[in-house]
Amino acid sequence: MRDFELLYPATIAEACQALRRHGEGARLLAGGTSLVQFLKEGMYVPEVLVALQRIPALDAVVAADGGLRIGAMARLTDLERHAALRQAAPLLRAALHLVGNVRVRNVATLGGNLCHADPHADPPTALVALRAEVVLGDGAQSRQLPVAEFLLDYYETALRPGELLQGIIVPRQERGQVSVYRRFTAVSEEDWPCVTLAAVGSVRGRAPNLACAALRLVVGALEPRPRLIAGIDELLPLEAGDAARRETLAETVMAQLAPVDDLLGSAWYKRQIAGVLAREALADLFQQGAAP
Amino acid sequence: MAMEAGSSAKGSSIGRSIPRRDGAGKVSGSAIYAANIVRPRMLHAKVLRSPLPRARITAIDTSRAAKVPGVRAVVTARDLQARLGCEIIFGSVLIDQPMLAIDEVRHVGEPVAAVAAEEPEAAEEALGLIDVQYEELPPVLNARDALAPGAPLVHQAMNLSGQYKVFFAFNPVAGTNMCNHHVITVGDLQAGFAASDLIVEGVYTSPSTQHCCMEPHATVAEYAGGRLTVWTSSQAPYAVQTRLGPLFHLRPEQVRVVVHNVGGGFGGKSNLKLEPLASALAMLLGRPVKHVTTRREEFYITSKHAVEYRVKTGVSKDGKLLARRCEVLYDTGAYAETGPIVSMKSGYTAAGPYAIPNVLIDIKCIYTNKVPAGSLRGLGVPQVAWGHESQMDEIATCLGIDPFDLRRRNVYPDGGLFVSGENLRHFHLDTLLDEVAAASGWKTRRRAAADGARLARGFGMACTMKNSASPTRSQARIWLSPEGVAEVRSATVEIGQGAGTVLVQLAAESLGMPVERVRLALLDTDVVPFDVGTISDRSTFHMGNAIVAAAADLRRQLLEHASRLLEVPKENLVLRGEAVCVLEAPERKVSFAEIVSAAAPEAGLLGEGEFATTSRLSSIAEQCGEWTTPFWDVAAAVAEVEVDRATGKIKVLRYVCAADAGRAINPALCRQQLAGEILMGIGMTFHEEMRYENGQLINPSFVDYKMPSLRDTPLSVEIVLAESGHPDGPFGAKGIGEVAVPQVSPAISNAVFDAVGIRLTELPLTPERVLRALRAGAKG
Amino acid sequence: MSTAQFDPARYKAEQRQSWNAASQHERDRMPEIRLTVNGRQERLTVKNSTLLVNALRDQLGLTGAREACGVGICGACTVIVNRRTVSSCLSLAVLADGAEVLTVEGLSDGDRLHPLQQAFLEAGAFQCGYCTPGFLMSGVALLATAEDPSEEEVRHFLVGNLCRCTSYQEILSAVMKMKEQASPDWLQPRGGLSARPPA
Repeated sequence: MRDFELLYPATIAEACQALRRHGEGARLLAGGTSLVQFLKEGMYVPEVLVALQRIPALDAVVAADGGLRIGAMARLTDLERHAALRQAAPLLRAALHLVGNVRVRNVATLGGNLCHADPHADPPTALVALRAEVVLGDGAQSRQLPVAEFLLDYYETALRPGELLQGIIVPRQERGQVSVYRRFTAVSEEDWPCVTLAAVGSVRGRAPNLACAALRLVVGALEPRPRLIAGIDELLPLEAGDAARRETLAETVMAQLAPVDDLLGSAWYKRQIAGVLAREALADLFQQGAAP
Repeated sequence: MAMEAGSSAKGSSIGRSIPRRDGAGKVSGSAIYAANIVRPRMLHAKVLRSPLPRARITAIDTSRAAKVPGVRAVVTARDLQARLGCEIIFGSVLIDQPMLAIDEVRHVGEPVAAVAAEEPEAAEEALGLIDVQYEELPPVLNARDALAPGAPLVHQAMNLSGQYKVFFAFNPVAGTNMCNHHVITVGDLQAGFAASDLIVEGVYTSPSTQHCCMEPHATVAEYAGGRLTVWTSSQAPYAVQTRLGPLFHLRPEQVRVVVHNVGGGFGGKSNLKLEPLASALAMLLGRPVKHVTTRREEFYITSKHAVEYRVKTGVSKDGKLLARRCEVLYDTGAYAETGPIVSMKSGYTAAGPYAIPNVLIDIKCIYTNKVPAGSLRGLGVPQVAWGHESQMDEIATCLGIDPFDLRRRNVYPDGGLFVSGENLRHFHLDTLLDEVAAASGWKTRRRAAADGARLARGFGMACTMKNSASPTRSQARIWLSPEGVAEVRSATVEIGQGAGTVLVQLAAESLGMPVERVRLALLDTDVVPFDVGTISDRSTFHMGNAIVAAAADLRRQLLEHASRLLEVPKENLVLRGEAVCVLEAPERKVSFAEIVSAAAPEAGLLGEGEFATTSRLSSIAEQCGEWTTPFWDVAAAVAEVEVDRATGKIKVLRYVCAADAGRAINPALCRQQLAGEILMGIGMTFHEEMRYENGQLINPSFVDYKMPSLRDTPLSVEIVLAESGHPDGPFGAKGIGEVAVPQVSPAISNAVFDAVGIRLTELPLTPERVLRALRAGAKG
Repeated sequence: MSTAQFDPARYKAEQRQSWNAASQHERDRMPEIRLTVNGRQERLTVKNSTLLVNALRDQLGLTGAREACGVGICGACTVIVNRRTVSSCLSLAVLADGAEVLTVEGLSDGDRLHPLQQAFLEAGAFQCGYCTPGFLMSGVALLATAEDPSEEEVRHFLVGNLCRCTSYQEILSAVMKMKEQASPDWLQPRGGLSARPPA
């Protein structure tokens, strides 16, 4: 790989200044796992890397308002182990646990993961289900955007030039919420997933008369960006014993997806698996509801 | 081979799972691999590779690249020819592979130009500045298309190498893309079909896969004082020596090959790979050159043959195979490599390990514009076994016969007449079938789930045969120091299989010494004598025999010298416990160290031995080569799987393999080999496929090409290690390094059929393929 | 064997030559980093683009870490940086400035092997050995930090280390066997290989 200049800005403003100054010739360096790969392959040939390691508190994780404010540079392993995450967002924790391998998780950052915008990444699916938002800024101003609107396409986000992702806000979740994260790999267990699914909801009643009263279901990895499944509310409340309606839910999920054919599977196959995961996720939520 | 006194059961080195000798270096990280080698003023080489599957090179401009600071040379084939006068084209069977493309590229990834620079980054930079103009040509991208009349020829001419004209009847067909074509016939095929009650046909395909040695290829070449030295990651140092020299008009003794540890071979390092180009650059520049490939480049260097296996079998209603016709197409890619050998050897076994009276096997090894294919563990047998073992279960199902009974009824007995015309000596596959059936509980197997349940279980079986290479030659020396320590000098390469340990055990046993007093010399062709190569799981048997012979030579010398020293006739002496003693008065003795100190005080004693296979059987079919098989690799396996009908995923619950080691010199190493082979087979079954689109490899990285991880292993693997005692092997041993690979895919696929009634004919068995077949309700 | 061994003195001489040949502009861009490797203070001159695996191999002769896949999947390049495993083939050496690095060479104490290395030897948890240092580093990191991991958890942690020769069985059992013996101080370097000449 060709050599480059490395800058270590001390503030977000400095970092964004460097980005503006160098334009296309600059890249932000977070954990570097994805970036260094691209550099080695010659896919990016930057003149300048703007390293974010020395900006204080950019990796801070703070419990706030019952939710979480996660600094963009928080490393996935640190997040996974953070006590506040266990409480506020077990779904995110479940997704983080499965990202890549442990060495990736030790170095990769949540901000970097989101900005890289690989459709197969795990955290975005969970974050969309949690209604998370990103905080984008340049040191002077900042704005917030739902994660679902931040991720646009393969390796493409809503970041404007001269702006960087500062943090991720996970809002307070509903009391008594149950959640489940599913990840399906078609070939090896050590692989990108071909389908991911994150579901959050609430289950009321007592076994065997359980009913799902709220449900937010996101399917990821098989399209360029995670998809929040629409039309679920019409099926609620969904009784555990109502097999037909549960099947309708799975079909609703499958019908809305426009999966992409790739090395991980054909569109047809991914759609089938999404249906399977939806059924499994629902069953899991009921099980959680049955055992408070 | 009878063993004289010197080995007693107590303290015997045979059959002991002693710890590996190479462990300390490997766990401490200090083990040397070729990429560790640093030579004074060493340069780093990088290669520019073709982006097209087939094209004419109309111009190459290296001028900008040559200006990159630190670059010492940018060369094309023409440059090497002009400036060095070397041969560009090399090969193992056919001399067809240029170290750098000459005017034409034949596969994506083919080396087109090379850079040598002070730093790897400078070489990398220079690659990007080499301008190559290509005129694209229509490629042939699969074997069928390459066979079609009027298909473009990948090679205009096909030149067999000298040695292969002598030993084998390879048959390249001029004017076609067939670099080898053989037809083996036994009996009368038509009569056989006519007499059959049932005829079953099928086509089974396997894709190209990768060896995935953890260590990529690496070579350091240095030319000084009229000698070329290469430190290289190779399984066959003497093959490197004998084939590298002629390219540069050097005699073999002018070429020295040094091999430290090799990080996996599996057949992918058994011929010239990086050595020619590194050597050319070293000779051109007068400086050592290191060439190490990246993982991505590994995908373009060598691979396993994609195979299309067509079979038509006639069988009687009581399950006797009467006739089998096989047509096997081997896609050998753009360069033949060992393709003719792979196709020939596995082609002979293409009809399976069954005594079928009427057989026709049509073997075609075909050039295409894809990555060259060569030897990969199993040497083509996994691909044909995929076919014949899958079909056996189809036949069994059609006839309502148990798959075990069908195999048992037809399997070759010991001594059976093989299609080559030789009798199968020491061939105990029938016993292995019995053992695997017993160990797996085949006769009482039950599938657990009812129809309609999401998870369905099934059992499947497979058995295979493979012939070990012949003719071959191995030489060994054992040097005994004045301290009485033995050093084994052998060109067998430690590729991970534990050869370094097993050969030491054999030497120790043959000399009646403890293994701790025997060491292995560094593999340096200046020191170790000839060996054909660490291939075809031949080393325990062939090199083992050479070592036993070398030890016998040493014992003879020790007896001679002791006889003089003790003034006792040899007949009254015996070797015992690192000493030579008088039979009737064992307290009268002289130790090995004393003998050597007296007889050859500084030089030590040197024992030499050789083992070569030379016997030949004439074959009954005209085009068969004259060859005979020193030992047979036979194994049988049973797989129990669980199929998830909702996702198509297959879980291997239990895998039982019965294999015959002849004699397990080191039982733990045998089992570890077999277990590793099974997992490699699992990879070929579920995960592995080199995926091409229009001649482009679309998954040349471990991100997209998956080999089995720690979470992809079967729930349980059991190995039944049979020891039938091969009379020609050292202490009865024979090879087991490849034997367990070929049963894996068909055993699993047969189990899937048993579980859910779908017959899959294409590898790998991806969940998507399974699910589609389930939905289509496909049946065998 | 001696002619092919890594010679730090020669390497330093060649580095000096290379340095002298580089332009001022390039020299400005060759930062010096200070890090602790296997308990020793080291000062290395690297480029910004130098990968940690190459700095360790080429400048310190620590050849246990190897680049075998280049994409962080196979784990043969695993080293421990600030108590965590990383893929050194995807790490920029400059970012290790000020870090504590532990490599496989730092596990043993002279000729005395680390307990996990010993366990690997006894179990025969290797064949060609190329992936072995990576597994050892991952194993050490896991066992030093995890509280009584289950087999499933061990598999999850080690899924990022690939082996082509073995069936993983011996590796898994060696790691499981050492669960009780492990302690957080496994992340401290021991003496290191005795053969390393002084800087």
